[in-house]
Amino acid sequence: MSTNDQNPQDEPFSKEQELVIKRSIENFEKNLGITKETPEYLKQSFERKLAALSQPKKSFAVKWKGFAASMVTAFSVGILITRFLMMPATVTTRGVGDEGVANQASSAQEYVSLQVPNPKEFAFEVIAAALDADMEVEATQAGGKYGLYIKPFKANAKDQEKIKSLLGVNPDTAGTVNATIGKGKK
Amino acid sequence: MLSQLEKEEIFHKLVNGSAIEKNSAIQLIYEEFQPVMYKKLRYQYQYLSESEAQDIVQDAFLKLATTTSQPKSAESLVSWVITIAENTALDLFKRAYKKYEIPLPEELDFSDDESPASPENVFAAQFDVQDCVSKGLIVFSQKFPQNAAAISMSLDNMAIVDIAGVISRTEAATKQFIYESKKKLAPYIEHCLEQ
Repeated sequence: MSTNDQNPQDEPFSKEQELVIKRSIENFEKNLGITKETPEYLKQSFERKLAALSQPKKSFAVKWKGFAASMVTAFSVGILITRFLMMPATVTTRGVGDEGVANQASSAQEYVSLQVPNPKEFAFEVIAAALDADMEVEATQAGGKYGLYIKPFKANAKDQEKIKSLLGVNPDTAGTVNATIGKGKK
Repeated sequence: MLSQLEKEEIFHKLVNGSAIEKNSAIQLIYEEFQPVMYKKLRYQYQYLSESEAQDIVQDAFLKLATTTSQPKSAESLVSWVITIAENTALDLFKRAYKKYEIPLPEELDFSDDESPASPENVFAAQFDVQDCVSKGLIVFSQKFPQNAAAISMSLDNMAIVDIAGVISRTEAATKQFIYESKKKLAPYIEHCLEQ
């Protein structure tokens, strides 16, 4: 490689003057951390950074799954809290047959608990009555108990007299009725 | 600086090598070019701490590992390295300057009417030539950082071809640039040297 071969007679400074300038430059560069060779600590830190850069990144899909799961959980908990908050302050418990004394609170959403000798048969009877009255019914079953979610109830509706009678609610009941049907002595 | 054989080897590792070989090539490039790249940039951006400036230069060289571009040949390796590292570093230095609200070098107003050699400087020169030259050099490096860095490389006996690679000029243009830089420096220190 060729070195700096500028013609000496063109040089603005003499060799002696360049030595003075060089010394000043060295002092100046020392203050700025300029070195002629790469310091060992910088070589090592660069090697570490380079190695870290080569590490495979964690899959975004895994994180996304976690995020989705947490969102579903939060949403489910939100629904439970909402249901709890919407629950009416007064809940009526009734029986049917001899013990079935109507006693209820009027509400947009009414809760009824019934004890009958044959819950399955009674649940089907209620469902049939609801369908006859052109109403919506959602049914669940767990441990011999039946849960019925029936709507829409209209006050004093003629076609809903039978189902209201079976559930033991007042003729002027309106809105939704959540009925729990369990086994009980007649 | 790197020999042709070393350039060939690094080029081969960068383009065709495994991930490990590519990293070892980048490590070698950093160790080889860090001093000149840091010098060139440090003359321009003097107001950051040394550790911050070194971090920026390191991050700039790390860009070589993440960039999708590749050198076209062993001959163009140096210009590929300098272009990517310098552009990245300049961007990072500017961001750091903005963060600390330091005026960028190009925003600084150096009045050309002001004489580089003030009477105070002449008086000080009577006591210490070296100190006087150093003061003149500091002012000159702030006003003409690229020229000051080129003079420094030249006085380090760095080969013209290597300086040319770092400052992205031809060899002839580099010689001329160094010569003109020294002439530019003269008014800042000649009053010291005359003593």
